Amino acid sequence: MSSVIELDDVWYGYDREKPVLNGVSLQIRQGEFVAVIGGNGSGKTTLAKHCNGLYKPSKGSVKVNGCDTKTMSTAELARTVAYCYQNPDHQIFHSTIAAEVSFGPKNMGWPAEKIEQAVNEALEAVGLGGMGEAEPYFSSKGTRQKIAVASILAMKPQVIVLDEPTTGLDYRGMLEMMELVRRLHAAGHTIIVITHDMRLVAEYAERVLVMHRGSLVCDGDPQSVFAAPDILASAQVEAPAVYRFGEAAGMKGPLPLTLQQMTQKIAGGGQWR
Amino acid sequence: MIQEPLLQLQEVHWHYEDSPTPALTDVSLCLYPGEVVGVVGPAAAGKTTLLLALAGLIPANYAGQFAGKRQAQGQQGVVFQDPETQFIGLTIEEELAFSLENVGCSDEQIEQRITEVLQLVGLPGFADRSPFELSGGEKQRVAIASALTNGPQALLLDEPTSELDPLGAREVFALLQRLKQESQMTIVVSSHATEELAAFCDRLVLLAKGQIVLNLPVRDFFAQTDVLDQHGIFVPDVIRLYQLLCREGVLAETAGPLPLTVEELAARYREAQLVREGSV
Repeated sequence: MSSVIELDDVWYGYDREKPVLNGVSLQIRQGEFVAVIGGNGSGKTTLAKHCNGLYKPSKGSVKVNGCDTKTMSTAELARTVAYCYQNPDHQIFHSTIAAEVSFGPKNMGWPAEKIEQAVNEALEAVGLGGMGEAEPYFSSKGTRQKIAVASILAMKPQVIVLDEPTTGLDYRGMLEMMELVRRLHAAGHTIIVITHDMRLVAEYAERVLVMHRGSLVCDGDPQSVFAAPDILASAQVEAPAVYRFGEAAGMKGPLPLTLQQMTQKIAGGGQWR
Repeated sequence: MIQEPLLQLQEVHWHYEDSPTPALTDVSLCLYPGEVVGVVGPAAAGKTTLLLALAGLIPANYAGQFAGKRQAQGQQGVVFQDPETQFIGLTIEEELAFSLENVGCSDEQIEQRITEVLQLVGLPGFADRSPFELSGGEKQRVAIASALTNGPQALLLDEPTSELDPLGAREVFALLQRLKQESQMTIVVSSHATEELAAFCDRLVLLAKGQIVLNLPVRDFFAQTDVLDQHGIFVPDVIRLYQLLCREGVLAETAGPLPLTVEELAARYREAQLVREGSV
């Protein structure tokens, strides 16, 4: 698979003594579902913001579809890699949902028909079809979060970066949000999620990048990250409850990450005991 | 021993002015001294309103129709979702001095009390800092300190971690856990974080559409998975796992209470394993 984002020895920071990123290299391939985890101040958000050129490296290079972000305009980048903020209110500023969602496409100079179609499709995709005339500010946090996603979806980005997309949502809101992300992934979008939620990582991510003090300290599947206590501690997280139980119970073989996997393992045969 | 409730709502109805539907319907709830009670419910279930009613801020400070009765002993400290909405001082000292000045404490008493509450929330030496330069978790701990200055018998917290990152949330829950152990205070906390609530509440209340659906000791509460599912409440994986292990005959439900943490579940599992090995 071709890489859509390529970081080569990326350094970033104002202070030479304390760089926010120190020499990060990685490739993200088309269609991957990547989780980025790490403690506060680990550089995970800075890393993610390099992927769409919101930040440009002090040293090293970031390439999107083979082009250096330093040579691309923000508008060009936004079309390829969209960034969805943790707090939807940081990006919502219009009085109707349709106006909000059409902002990006309008800026891209699309004809009116194409904009309308893109807006309708985006609203449909996030489960807000027919809600275009409602006011964003009077809707629930879960709905505002979906509006924020719709407004980046309307631009049909190849890659979607979501910064803590489930924070502040109730359980139903969280499930709806993650099912939406799963559908976007299935539709071919490359997904990068910054999160602290290891249950979410276990359930959805194929690959986990662990940041610590500006460095990429681990790059592997969820299984390998959960099996590394030092890495988890550096990211200030715990493995999900199902995994920890598997460890505590002394299960044999690869430990299940999710309830569904555990159910299969237990129901599938007594060997694990 | 039958205790007198510290806080009590009896058949409370509340309808905010301009709202099409009532926010609380026939809510009766008793809180006893030293109890830690969690309030869960989907978004817009009335959790904030319930806490405001417990604090007496509804009906006192809000427009609407109130029916029913509230009884309270002592004072209540209230902590809101977003700590910044309640900050008024430029330094943490000013922030904390505010309510003490209002009740006419001397400067010495104020200083001493501020030192005490900052110690209590694990922020000693923070008096001269600005509340706005702190991390989310620290801000919320200052808000808790501020709710504690007048020595309330009950601390009421409305989703105190929902605006925080997970580390800040952990800080706040660790503090609440410590307050539970070190003080005799009644603590009521609304939250979506059922895993954390399971680990530290004595009792939980499920609120939906302004009505109390469940009000049970923590283990009995989480045994009601069908009701919780029906209302979209997250049932911690430990409880799901336990049920799975019981269904598959690995654990026996009769062997003990519902486990609430991975450690409790693993201990039950090891016990069952010993029994199995012993019987072979």
